[in-house]
Amino acid sequence: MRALNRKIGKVTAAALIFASLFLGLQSFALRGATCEEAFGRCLGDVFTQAFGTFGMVYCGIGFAFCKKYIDPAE
Amino acid sequence: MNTRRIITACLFAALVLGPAFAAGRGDAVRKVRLEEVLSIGGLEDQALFQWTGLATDDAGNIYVLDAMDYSLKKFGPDGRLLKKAGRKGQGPGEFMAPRLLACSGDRLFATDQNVFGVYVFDRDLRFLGKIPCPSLILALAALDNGRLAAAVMGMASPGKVLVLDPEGRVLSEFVPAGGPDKGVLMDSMSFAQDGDGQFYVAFLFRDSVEKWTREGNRLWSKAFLGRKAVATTEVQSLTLPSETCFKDVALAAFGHVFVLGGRLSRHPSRDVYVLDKYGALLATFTLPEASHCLHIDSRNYLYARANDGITLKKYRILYD
Repeated sequence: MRALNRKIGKVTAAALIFASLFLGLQSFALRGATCEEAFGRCLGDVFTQAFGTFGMVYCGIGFAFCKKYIDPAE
Repeated sequence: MNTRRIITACLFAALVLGPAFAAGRGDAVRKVRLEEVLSIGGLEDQALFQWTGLATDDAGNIYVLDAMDYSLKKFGPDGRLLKKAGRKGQGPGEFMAPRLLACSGDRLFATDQNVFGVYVFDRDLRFLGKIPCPSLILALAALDNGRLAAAVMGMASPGKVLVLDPEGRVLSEFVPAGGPDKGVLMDSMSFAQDGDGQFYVAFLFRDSVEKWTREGNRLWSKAFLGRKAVATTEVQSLTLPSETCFKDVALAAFGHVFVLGGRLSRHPSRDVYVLDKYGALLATFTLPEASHCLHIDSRNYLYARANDGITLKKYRILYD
C-alpha cells in the first residue's frame, strides 16, 4: 500500500510539474497546462512585466525548455 | 600465371578488406542498435524524480541534475547513488530550476534556468563558485582549460554561442542564425563541439543541423524533416513556434554526429539521426522511449531518458 501510494504520488507529481516547472517563475507554478498557456501566463505576470525585455527572455527560455523537455507529451 | 594470381588476390583482398576497413572507420554504417546496460531510477524508488541535465566522467561516474529534487546527484558506474548535493533555494549550491550539466576534468558545470551564470562543483559535488554569463543559457558544453561554450538566447537579438573563460569573460562568440526563419525563439539550439573546436548545431524550432567553425563560418547546413517552417501559435501578439525539430546533438566514436529529433520526427523525441562529419545521413534509429536529450560518454555509451525523466537509461551502441 505504501509502495502504491509512493508510485501514485510520483506519477501525479510528474504530471503536475509539466509546463509549470519548465517556465520556472514560481508565481504561476502548478498552474500551467501547456507550454503556450504557461508562456502566456508568464508574460502577464506582474513580476515579468516589471522587467520588460528581461522578463520576456525569462518567459522565452522557459518556453524553449518546456518544449524541449515536455513536447510531445504535453 | 603469377600475374593473374596476384591480380586475383588483390581483387579478393579489396572485396573482403575494403568494407571491413570502412566499417572500422564507421563510414559504412547502415544500421545502429542499442543494447541497454544500465537503468537508474524507477517508479518504485527515489533515485530520480525528473532528471534534466547529465554528465559523465572518465571513471564512468554519472552526474545528474534532478529538477524535481532541486539537486545534483552522483551515481557510480554500477548505478548506485554515491552522493547528493543541493536543495531548493537561491543560495550557493542551491537550485530553483536546474537544467544543464557538463563535466571537464575535475569540474562539473551546472545551470539554473533563470540564473545568469554557471555553477561550478568538484566531482565530490562540493560547490566551488559561479561563473558569470551575460545572458540566460539554453545549451552548455565544457571545453578544455576550464573554458565553457554556452548557447544564450535573446528575444530582440538573435541567439548566439559564447566561449567563456573560467572567470566568465567572453573569449569569442558567433551567431548561427543563417536560416530563413527570424521569428521569436527560432534560434533556440543545442550544440556539441568536436576535437577540432568546430560546432555542430541542432535547432529546436528549425529543420536545420549545421556545422560551424569557432570563428563563426558555417561549413554546412542540412535538413532531414522536409519542413520549410514549423507550425506557430499566437500568444499575446507574439508568434511562437509550436513544433520541435531537433532536441539535442551529441558526438560519438568515428566522428559520428547523433541528432535527436523532436515532435516532427516519425517517432517524436525518439528518432536519432546519425551523420558523418560532413552532414551526410548514415543511419537512423529509434530510442525505446521519448527523451529530451542525448549524451554519449568517452567510451561511446549513450544515455537517454525513460519514464518521463524518472528513469535514466544507459545503452551500448552497436553498429551493423
